[in-house]
Amino acid sequence: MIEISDIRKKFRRKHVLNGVSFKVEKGQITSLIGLNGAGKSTILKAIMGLTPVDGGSIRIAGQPITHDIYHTVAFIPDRLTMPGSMKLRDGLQFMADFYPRWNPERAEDLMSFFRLERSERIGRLSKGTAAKFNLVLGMAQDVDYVLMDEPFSGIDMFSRELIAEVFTSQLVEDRGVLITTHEIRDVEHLIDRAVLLMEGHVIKDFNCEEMREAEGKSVIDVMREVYRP
Amino acid sequence: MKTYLKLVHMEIYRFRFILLGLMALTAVVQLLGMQMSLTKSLNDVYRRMSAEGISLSEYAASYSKLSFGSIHSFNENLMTFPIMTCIVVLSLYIFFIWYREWFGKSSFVYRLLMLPHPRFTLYLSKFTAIMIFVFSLVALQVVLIALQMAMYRIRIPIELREYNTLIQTIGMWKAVIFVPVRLQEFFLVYGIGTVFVLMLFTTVLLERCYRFKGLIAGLTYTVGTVILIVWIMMMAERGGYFFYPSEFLIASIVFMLFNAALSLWLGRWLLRKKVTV
Repeated sequence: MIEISDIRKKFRRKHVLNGVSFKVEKGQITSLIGLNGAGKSTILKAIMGLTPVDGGSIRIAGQPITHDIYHTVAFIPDRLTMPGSMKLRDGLQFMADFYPRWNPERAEDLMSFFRLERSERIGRLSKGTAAKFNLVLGMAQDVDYVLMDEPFSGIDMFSRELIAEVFTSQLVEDRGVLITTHEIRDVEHLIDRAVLLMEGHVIKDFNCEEMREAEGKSVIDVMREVYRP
Repeated sequence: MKTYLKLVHMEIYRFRFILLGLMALTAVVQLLGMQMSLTKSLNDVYRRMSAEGISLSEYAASYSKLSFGSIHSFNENLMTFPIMTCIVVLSLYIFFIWYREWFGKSSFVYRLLMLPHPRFTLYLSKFTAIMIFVFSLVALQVVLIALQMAMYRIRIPIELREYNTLIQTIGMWKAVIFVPVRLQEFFLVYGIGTVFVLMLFTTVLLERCYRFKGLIAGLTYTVGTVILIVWIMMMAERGGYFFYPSEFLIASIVFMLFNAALSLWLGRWLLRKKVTV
């Protein structure tokens, strides 16, 4: 389990995170929902130790953040973070070289699933293709948790469908997934849990299925109530 | 260890074209410069010989010989220019080796900071890479001087040669500070250089963690250290103070070792706790 408790962060004088707490469980897809600038990306970066927080704690399977968490958690940022001069082949080699949990067979499967060409240069990829390759780099690691920052933004319809297919495949099954998005329609049918952020707080945290059964509301219905009262 | 070596390899690989370019520039300019100096010096000798109607052995008897040092320093600027270029490029790369990870389209820093290995390895690998660049250029310089000596032996008639060893030759050169011959000089020059690389690395990380404030703090500290070291060296050279020159030397060595330790410790801490993408 990833436990985020009471984390705070401010940029200059603005409090971006004002005591945020929630949990990401294994075997569930949790979506972090908020309007632009709500601090979604900051939370993911904080979990990955890519930005310091001013207070609170983050624990992954009970452990604080050290370089060891990268054996357990993979992060798929909102951009492809590999040098543009590399070819896709070099990118895969880099992952195999440095990540003991890299799974080459799975990378192979994903490369052919997305129909990616190994000889292409990373710097020349279209936005959609870059997003797919980004997904390969994250999903081909044998880790317990995967964090994704806006995996659907700026991508055409068919690529979105392909990416969404990955979520329903066995690639995700036993893992804990935390995904941020402001285009909830793409993931609404996939997610198990929704965490709604507003003004640096968690304003709602619910199990989607229970919400549907108990109150007959979809995620979008709840969002409307929260963000457009 | 394996990760460290792989990262060092990656850093060298990414810099390979610039490094090879610098090497080619140094080799071409210095060898051509030597060739031009040799031709010019020999032409002068032959002109004087024909004007005075004397033979080579008579010339050698009545005029000074053509020492390697005098020919080499004939085109002093041409010899020093590539060295200065290398120094400027490498100095800039001390910063760029870090900033290239943050800026540009790729934000490679995300990936590097998420490697499942201690982040300090990253710091050490970049530092090692810079040192390898420096010493490969120094080594090339020594090879080039040996080649220039071979050119000297081939072109200058034996009557006019004045023999020097490689070490003497290097010692005669004004730019000798870049290739110190004596061991303690070598350690002093490159030791101090090494510590400044560490201090600049940590300054970059301070800037990355605390932006403008960090930059000011890091630069103030580094520049302050430069001033202090230069001041100590000047005092040691002038002498006549309360301390002996050797004591000044020891003081500066201890001070630089302290700075090195502080930079390494701070760099490690910043990478672990404070760095942000």
